[in-house]
Amino acid sequence: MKRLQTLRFATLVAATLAVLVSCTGCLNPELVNRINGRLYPIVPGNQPFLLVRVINNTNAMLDVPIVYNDGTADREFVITGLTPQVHETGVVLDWPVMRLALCDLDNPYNPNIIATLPDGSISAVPFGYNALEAGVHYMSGDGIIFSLNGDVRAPAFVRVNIGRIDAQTQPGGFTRADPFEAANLILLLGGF
Amino acid sequence: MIPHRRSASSWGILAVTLLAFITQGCGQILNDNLFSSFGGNAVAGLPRPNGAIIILVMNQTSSAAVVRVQVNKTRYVPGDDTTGDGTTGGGTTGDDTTIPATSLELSIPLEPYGPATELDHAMIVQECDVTSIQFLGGSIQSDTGGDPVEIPADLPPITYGSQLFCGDVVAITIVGVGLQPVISIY
Repeated sequence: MKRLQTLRFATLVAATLAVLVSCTGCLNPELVNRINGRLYPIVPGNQPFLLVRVINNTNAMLDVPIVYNDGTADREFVITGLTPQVHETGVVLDWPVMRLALCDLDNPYNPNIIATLPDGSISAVPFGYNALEAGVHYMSGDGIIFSLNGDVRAPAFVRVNIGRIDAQTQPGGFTRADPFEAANLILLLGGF
Repeated sequence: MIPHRRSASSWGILAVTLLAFITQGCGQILNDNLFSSFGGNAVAGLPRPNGAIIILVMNQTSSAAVVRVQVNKTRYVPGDDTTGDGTTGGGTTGDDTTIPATSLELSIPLEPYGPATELDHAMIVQECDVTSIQFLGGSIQSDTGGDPVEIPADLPPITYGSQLFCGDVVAITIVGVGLQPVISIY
């Protein structure tokens, strides 16, 4: 009986240590960051940027325009050839970003997203939402995620979902490199 | 009775340790507010990004430029939408596979350098599933209106794990002297 209790206790201690070790950096740090978010930042946070990520969850190759207004003019950045294998990419936009969409900022049903389906046919996909607005849908330092999903019920077989990573929910005090801070410093030093 | 007391106190210590750990260390797992959504479409199934690598491209010339970069990655391939529910990945359908490598070629247009110019630089962000980044060259508009001037691309790829790590910034600067790209990693 005593031996059984000792064994059970030792197992528990080992399990506890394993969990502690996995969350404190002895394992793959990217995996650890995915779990506790304390190693690397995933959104700009205090830096004057807006992160925009595009995720391809379809089986089509996508050309996705990221259209935004910086307060002076409409700007466009086009992601071309985003295959399901590549899955995701993104851009970091200088703040301010007053409005943001994957289409004409004033015409959300203009089908500007181009999906090349596996059979070679091309489908033009509307964004389907009004342009997102600063102060309403996002703030400086946040991350906006556009997730494009295959949907047989959608008119163009692709549906756009939008998510936001609030910079305020990101833990502070990272123990590894902060690429957003580094990028901001490089731009400042380069006179950009 | 003494062994029972010792056992109970050990269990108690373990429980307190685990509770403290969960609330302090892994509290982000339980954070339901991480992803909010617009328009009634939830993106709750998305995993947290594991970190980021930024490719920062800067044009310090007085001409418009196009820079080409290839990002090589390794990741999961979502399967077909067999259930018709709009979801294809995440391992729920059992038809996901892993492929050794894939690549995304980026063609990044840049305006001429200027203090008030917004688009004389660009920042591309990738998750840390990058295996290497290769500068493929580019071109710069000729000042005399002739053919674009090619930017040489005789640089080896930047390999993840030796020169490149999660959280790094790959800074590519196009400078006017000889149109040589300057690539630095910070």
